[in-house]
Amino acid sequence: MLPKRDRILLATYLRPEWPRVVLLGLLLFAGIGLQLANPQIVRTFIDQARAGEPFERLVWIALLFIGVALLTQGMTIAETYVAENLGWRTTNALRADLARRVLALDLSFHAEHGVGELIERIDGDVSAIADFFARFVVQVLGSALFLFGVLVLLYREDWRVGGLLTTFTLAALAFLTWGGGFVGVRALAARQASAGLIGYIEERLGGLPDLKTSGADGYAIHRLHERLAGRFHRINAAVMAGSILNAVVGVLFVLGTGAAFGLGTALYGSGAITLGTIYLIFRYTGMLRDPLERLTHEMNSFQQATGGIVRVRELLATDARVNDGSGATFPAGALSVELDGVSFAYETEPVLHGVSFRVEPGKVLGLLGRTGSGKTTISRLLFRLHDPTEGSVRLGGTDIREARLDALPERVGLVTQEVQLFQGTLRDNVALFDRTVSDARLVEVFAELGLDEWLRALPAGLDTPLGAGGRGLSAGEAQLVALTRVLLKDPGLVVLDEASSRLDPHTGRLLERAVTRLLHGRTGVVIAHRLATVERADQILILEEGRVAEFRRRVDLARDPESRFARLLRAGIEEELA
Amino acid sequence: MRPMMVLLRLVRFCPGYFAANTFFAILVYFLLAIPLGLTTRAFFDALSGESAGLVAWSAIGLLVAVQLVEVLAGPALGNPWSPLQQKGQVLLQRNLFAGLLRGYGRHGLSEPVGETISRFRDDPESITDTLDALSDLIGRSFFAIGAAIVMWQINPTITAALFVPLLLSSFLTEALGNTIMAYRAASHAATGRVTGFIGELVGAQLAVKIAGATRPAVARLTKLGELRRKAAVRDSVFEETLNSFNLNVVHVGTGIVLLLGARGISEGTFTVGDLALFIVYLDQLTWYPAEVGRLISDLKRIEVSFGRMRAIVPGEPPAALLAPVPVYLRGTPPEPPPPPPRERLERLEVLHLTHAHPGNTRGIIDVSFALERGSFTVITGRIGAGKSTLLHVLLGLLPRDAGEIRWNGRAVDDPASSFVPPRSAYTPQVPRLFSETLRENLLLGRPEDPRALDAAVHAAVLEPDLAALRGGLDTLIGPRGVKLSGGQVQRSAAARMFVRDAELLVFDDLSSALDTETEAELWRRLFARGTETTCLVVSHRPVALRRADQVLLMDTGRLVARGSLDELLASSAEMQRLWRDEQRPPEVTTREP
Repeated sequence: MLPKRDRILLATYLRPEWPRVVLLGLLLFAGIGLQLANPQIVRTFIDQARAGEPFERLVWIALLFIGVALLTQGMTIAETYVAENLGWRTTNALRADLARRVLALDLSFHAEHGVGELIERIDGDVSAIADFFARFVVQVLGSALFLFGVLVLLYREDWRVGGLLTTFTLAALAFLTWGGGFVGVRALAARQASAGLIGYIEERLGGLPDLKTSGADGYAIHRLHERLAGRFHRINAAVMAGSILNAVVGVLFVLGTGAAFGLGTALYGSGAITLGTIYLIFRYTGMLRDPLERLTHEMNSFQQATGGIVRVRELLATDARVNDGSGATFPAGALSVELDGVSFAYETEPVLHGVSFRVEPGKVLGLLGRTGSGKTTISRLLFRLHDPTEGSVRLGGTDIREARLDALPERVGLVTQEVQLFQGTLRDNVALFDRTVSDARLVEVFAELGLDEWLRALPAGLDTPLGAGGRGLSAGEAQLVALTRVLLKDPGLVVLDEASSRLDPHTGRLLERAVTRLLHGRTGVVIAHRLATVERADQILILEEGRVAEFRRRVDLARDPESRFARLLRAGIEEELA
Repeated sequence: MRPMMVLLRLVRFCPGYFAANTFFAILVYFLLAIPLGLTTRAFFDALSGESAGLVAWSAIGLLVAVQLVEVLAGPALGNPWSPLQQKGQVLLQRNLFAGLLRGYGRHGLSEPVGETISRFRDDPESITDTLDALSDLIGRSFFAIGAAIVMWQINPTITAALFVPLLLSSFLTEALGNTIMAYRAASHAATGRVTGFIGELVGAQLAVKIAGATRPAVARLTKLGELRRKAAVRDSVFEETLNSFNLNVVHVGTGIVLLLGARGISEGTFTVGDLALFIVYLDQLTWYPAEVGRLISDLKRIEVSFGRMRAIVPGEPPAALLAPVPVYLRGTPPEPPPPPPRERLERLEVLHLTHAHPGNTRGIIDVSFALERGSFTVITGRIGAGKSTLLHVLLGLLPRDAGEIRWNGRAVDDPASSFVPPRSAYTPQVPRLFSETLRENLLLGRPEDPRALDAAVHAAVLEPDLAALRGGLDTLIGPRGVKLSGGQVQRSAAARMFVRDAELLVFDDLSSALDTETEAELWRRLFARGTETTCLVVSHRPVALRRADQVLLMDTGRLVARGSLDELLASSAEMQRLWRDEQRPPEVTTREP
């Protein structure tokens, strides 16, 4: 029914919840038992009434009936409660694992998959699976058990009646299974027509300016009509197919019921069964059709749900291209940085060619070069957002591929050019959801960077909402937030990709001071866009098309009028590197 | 518009299907269900009367016959609920689409495409679902009345007693309706917080990663998930409680019948047949309060859904979405209307054009210029200067807040419907092509003229690409076809513009994705067109600037200088700066991946 690896996946998440699984099973059994008991009580009532039993006795039976009905209700509610809890607990665990997986995957994965798609895969697919299994357990398992129970009880009354209805049930089941394909093909065509229509609309909505200015409004509507009509007919055809199948099975059932009644009447006439039993047969046969239809319906929709499972499994199995090392550690304090013959290519596009350099602990390297020269790539390699295609990166003498992935963020602080902010408070954005970081510590960090005044000037301090809908931060201010994120972790190496956009003078000064304080006692690799930042560097490395064009002490380069650096200084760094 | 009015308009749009569906509901729920109960009663009474024989056997025959009609009625009547709902959806979706097209420029897309799509897919469906519910309720109402009369005649006491749980159930459904809505809303909100957080997390994946914050982030997700679980469980348990209560009304009702019928049965005043009839009718009646409640909540939902649909076409009158236009479900829809008549462009004037987008700094302020027939005008300026915005406002893709546009001296009131072929044609900076053949993308419904098509392909320097595509112009492009490169898309869009043979050609940064040679060729062919076409282009390319009869220099939304390139180079520092940037080697502008 379900491939083995999918069953294993589901079992993994169900196992920790086994007490709930057991409880759910018990409730399901008990609920079905009570439903089956109901006609039995009415039967007893009829027979005893006709036998002239005392009135009080009948009243007691009636009260028992009501009691059972109420108990059934309680059981159904309990079943829902347990099933829902079970579903959410297991799938939440799955969602967390998927989120962890997605966060661990590298940039190339994120470049290929949009945010919307990933939301759909972390949440949407899982919810679809949950829905399906909630229904599957209750409907399929429940219906099958119920059917079985009804047939067994009918056998108990009379083997001929039981046999007759079993035959009809099996025939109906065969018809439904066989007709499933007949309906399925049309249902698939209908779904495709619906999806095609939505796809059409989606594309046109994206290209509204193109359509408008091309004078193609009428044409777009004309084509829409074709699609709408197509879907109309396909859906009606699918509904018709389903309804024909239902009618065929329905006819079968009506005939079965008629035969059962006839048989019952004959048996009654011969005195083999009571009137109450005929009522029982009448009720039970009426109860057969519903679960049968549900059963086949759910079996047919099975394929749809497996799509979600397959996608979830794929995502869990997606390998990060960057993987954990054996667990080597980095020395404490400022870290030396060493690139040794490092080359790197995005897919097939080469970006770096044999780049080598070394920065001593506590020194600052200024990384210069035009857009596209590979500066940002170097900063990403230092953080293992990618691994080099050739060569190695060593921090404090340790090859970073030897370390565990979560060890790097502890020792390396990276400030990207565009700082990603969350919709949340400033506190959330600095501590990144870590609730163990106290407000006092956060205020301290801001003060350490000389940002206490900036913080005080915010309307709600640490509670100021940022991101969409909140206070907009300029690129410079966003970098201030990123600097506090870094300082909070006290790393031995700071990689700073300076914002290239123009800063207002005030933010510029704040940023400069904060960077100075952050780099104090730490090694720094700074992708510089401003003269002030460049002047802070002990060494300068100029990249040109992925190659080291110049790498020397800043003062030496500045003194040499022939150097690229000196030329850059003369032309005005800010103009040239913008 | 009131929800009931929405339904009635839809009913008036497809009266035949609605009538058929309502007849179906009355047939199944009333015309067949009432005799079914009566026959069952006759069957049991015949048996208990010990006179089984003929009556019982004919009752069985009748039961079988009635039920056969019931199961065959749906397909025999063509399952009218399906075309009823589908045709209603067709109308709503068609009108919504047309409304978006009509209004684009006045209001644009107010929601992201994903959200807009949900208003195409989910909202019409929730409206038309109610059409079927309405038919159902009519049928069930007939039954409720009929059944009550039959039952009353058999035993008024028991019938009256049965109304207690039924009324209680409808009262409960009604009373708890708002609570259900509140729980449902809370559960949706909790889900929204989870998906929103996942979105933030994935969107800022890099920030989480470099801060080593995966663990606290996942912990937060887990916590939000727990909150959602609680909200969702509360929601469904509450709903299930109500549902099972409704369902149990039949059992409790049966209990009441047994209780009150006990003496009657032992005394012979209430027969087993009566008992069977009550149970059969109760089965149907149980759902009646729930159905009424469902219709009421459906009507509320219609209000929401219809409101959501209207919100994305704010300029349209309320009834526009329900306008009974032909929907061509059979036969082919008529060809699109012919383009407006050609009108020779002598002079285009733009006066004090202003667009201040709320919450968006990218507006234009008080821009005035004029184009003469056959002239070549280049709009230039740095990124964010307002060049594209100016084109969009001129073409009616963005609303203008002030200013005037004059075509040959006549004011253009609605630019969106005026700046269309054959008056003007446009290539956006980031053109969109559709998942069709390349030919269809170029023509977009224009009657095909092979010579014009060839000429357009030539003008756009698209022949080398066509030669490389196996299917030529008939190559299917898009997700299920060939993926074109950025430059190919841009030149296909240019060909789409050229084939429209318009008086005014407007293009936005045509060369942004082209290699140097192709670009040079494209400009060369464009300039070779002579003086019959008027061109308005956004560009910063020297080749275009040099050739321009007039250069319009934009800076922060204003037109700061106007004149020939040489004049501007002499007078404007901004122009000098731009010109110098342009002399740099081209790799400066390539993006880092």
